[in-house]
Amino acid sequence: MVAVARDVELYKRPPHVVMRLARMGCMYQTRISFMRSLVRRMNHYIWTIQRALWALDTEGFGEAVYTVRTPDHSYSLVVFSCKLDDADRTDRVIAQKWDATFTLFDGIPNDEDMVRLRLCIPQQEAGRCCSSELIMSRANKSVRLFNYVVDCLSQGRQPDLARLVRVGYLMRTTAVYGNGKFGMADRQRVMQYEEMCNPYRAELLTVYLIRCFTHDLVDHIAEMRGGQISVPLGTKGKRALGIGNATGLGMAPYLHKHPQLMNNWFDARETALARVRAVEYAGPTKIDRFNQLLSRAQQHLEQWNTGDAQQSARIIELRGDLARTELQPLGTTHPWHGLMNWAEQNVSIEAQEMLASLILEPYPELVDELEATMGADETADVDPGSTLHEFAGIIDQHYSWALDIDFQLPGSSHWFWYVSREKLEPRIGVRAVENGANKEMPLGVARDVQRVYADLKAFRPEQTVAIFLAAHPRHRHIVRRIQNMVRAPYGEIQDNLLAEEMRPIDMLRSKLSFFGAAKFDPKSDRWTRITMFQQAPLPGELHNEDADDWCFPVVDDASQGVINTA
Amino acid sequence: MHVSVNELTLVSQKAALGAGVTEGAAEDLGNAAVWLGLRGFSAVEAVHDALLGARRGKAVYGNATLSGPRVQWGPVQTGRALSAAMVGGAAADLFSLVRKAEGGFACMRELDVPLLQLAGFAKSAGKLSFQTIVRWFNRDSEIAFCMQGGSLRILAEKGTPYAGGPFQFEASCQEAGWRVDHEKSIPEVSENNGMYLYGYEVDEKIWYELKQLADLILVEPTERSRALGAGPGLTDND
Repeated sequence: MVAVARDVELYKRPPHVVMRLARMGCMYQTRISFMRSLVRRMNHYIWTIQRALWALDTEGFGEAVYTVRTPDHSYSLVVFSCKLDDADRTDRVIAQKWDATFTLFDGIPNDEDMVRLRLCIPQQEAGRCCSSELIMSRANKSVRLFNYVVDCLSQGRQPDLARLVRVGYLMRTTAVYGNGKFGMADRQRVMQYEEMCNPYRAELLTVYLIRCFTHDLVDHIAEMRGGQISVPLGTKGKRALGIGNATGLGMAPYLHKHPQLMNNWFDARETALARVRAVEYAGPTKIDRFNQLLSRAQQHLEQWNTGDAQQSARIIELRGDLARTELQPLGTTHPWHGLMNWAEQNVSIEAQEMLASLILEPYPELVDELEATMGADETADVDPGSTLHEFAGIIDQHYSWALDIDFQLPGSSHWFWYVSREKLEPRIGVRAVENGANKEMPLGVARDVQRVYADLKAFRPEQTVAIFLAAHPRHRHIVRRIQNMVRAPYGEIQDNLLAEEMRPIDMLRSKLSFFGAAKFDPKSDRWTRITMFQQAPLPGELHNEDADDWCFPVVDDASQGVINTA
Repeated sequence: MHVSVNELTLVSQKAALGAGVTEGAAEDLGNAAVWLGLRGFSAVEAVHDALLGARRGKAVYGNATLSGPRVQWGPVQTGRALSAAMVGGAAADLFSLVRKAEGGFACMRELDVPLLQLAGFAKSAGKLSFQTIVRWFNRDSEIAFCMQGGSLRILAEKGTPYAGGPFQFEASCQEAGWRVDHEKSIPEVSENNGMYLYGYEVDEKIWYELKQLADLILVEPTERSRALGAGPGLTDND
């Protein structure tokens, strides 16, 4: 029987512990990550997926449409697959061409829609969508795996499972756009469908459908090539293949621009963790489930391949940490709180965060409802009547971390964040070396907090924020941010994003963990590849009882991967 | 052409930054554009006029004085207009301090595009139980709005009050509520949520010019930034 302490808040980790880059860069998916909640939705509401159009030539170039039917509505993934020269294949935003382009269409497209989509979607950012397009995306083949799989299947044999696991996907998405970009539907339109209200629901449905397309694509090309000798990719192989994604700096400004949303994501996660930590007694079923998942997580580590030296070292340390965790006896009362307390003293942050994810798994009844709290009303007004005494009090309480940074040190303002004219790619530059700092994005929250704090001194404490802002209009954005942070304590990253030691990848990983990404494979400190939906149920398995049981994916029978420690 | 509400917000905001408006006022402008668009006003034209004025130095920031229940605001330089875009929500903020007092009154002299200030004042009025009257006028044109709670009504209109500024802008608090017969006779400026479903119609040329302003916040690429500023490499054939 589950007993929950009355005051879950007592078990909650405070923002100054959670919202640090070092911890954010170690986060993992949880039960309420967006991919997990999408699959549960598809399972509970019996969504069906039908391949409505398949018009591809022998090489796999052409068009396809997949239609998803939910109890209330239909959505269609429209696919355009085309030939791409190797020289044009880049994961960067600066790409102009892709192996395949996609849109998630609101409903079922008619012939007229298809004519329009054919002109617009393959151009991606250079095209012009309209409000019936909910999402636009593109993907490139994983050349190392795609051709190998097609070769195997066309010759009538299944590809080596270990090789599939090592890469994890046939295609990598390089952007998934929504929310009104390039003329697409605004988020408000998407949200008229209750089933699409969760953050990134439409985006991740698109990604799931792209995964279906990649599976069908290799089957199709193999059949065209091998004829009767060919075989379709087996279920094990298909489940082992998710969708890759290459993610760059764009995610970091996103975290900064949406403090209320970030707060709700982190708050939901930390509330879930606190609820489980507050459990007084855990029965044998819960403990068995945890032990089973701990064991699966250890296998998962064996199949997590990355060429990144730092991540490889972390995985090796993590293996040791999990082995020690396995030996750690659970307390008879408050077992999960005891385990997390032990972990905070004895294992790496990576291991702490993996355990934070694992202990949520046995408790869907405490955790899953929190997924409904992860959206946000992002309206943020200035409170003009607040006194400067009150305002300074908020800074003292919530931004002491920012006041403690010494901006006299050159390393404290090392980086500036900007948007390049080259396809609007977000980039960072070295302030002392590169041009463009005069156009930097306002990610220097700590610096701006110090500036506003300094200017407050010339005013009397009983004067109002309105008076202050009339005299100092340049502080308006940071004043608004600070005032609204009172209701968003997890909304601020409590580190200096301009500091020389800052690693953008920590922000990327944190956001991607909320998506439900796995197998982070950093390519630099500002770029990572990930795997999505690996081991997730296939369309025909979505309604199975165990459809939600695919976290920390492990492929049985796959020989162990190799961690490159070079 | 149609643009999404998100594009209307972001392009207005970025164009404001490109025109030299501060970050916070640019946020206000993006929100004001959507507020106006939802009510059928020519939002993009207003944003465009205000930002070109700011960019060309024809409109500037101002000095505010607060004396008892009265707020006065005028341009910092004579011969220039007070920029509605640069002031952002700051004027409505100050008005919110005096609006509860008897005779609460705000005045902005030589204001270039008063329509952009309407959203902030309406939001401020929405939090009050009594009326706010907002009017702007010059020698040729005049318009007056009555705002109470979330409702907005045009009381009087003369000439072309949405163009050809600058104007004198005034906002005042009135204790008396609507006279019922008066209220019935004046249609409410209603919100059109269809904009969220189908987008917002804009003049392509004006939109293009706004986007050009927005592009001013972009940084020119260099070989170094291309190689080191974002990703690890330029091709991915693995």
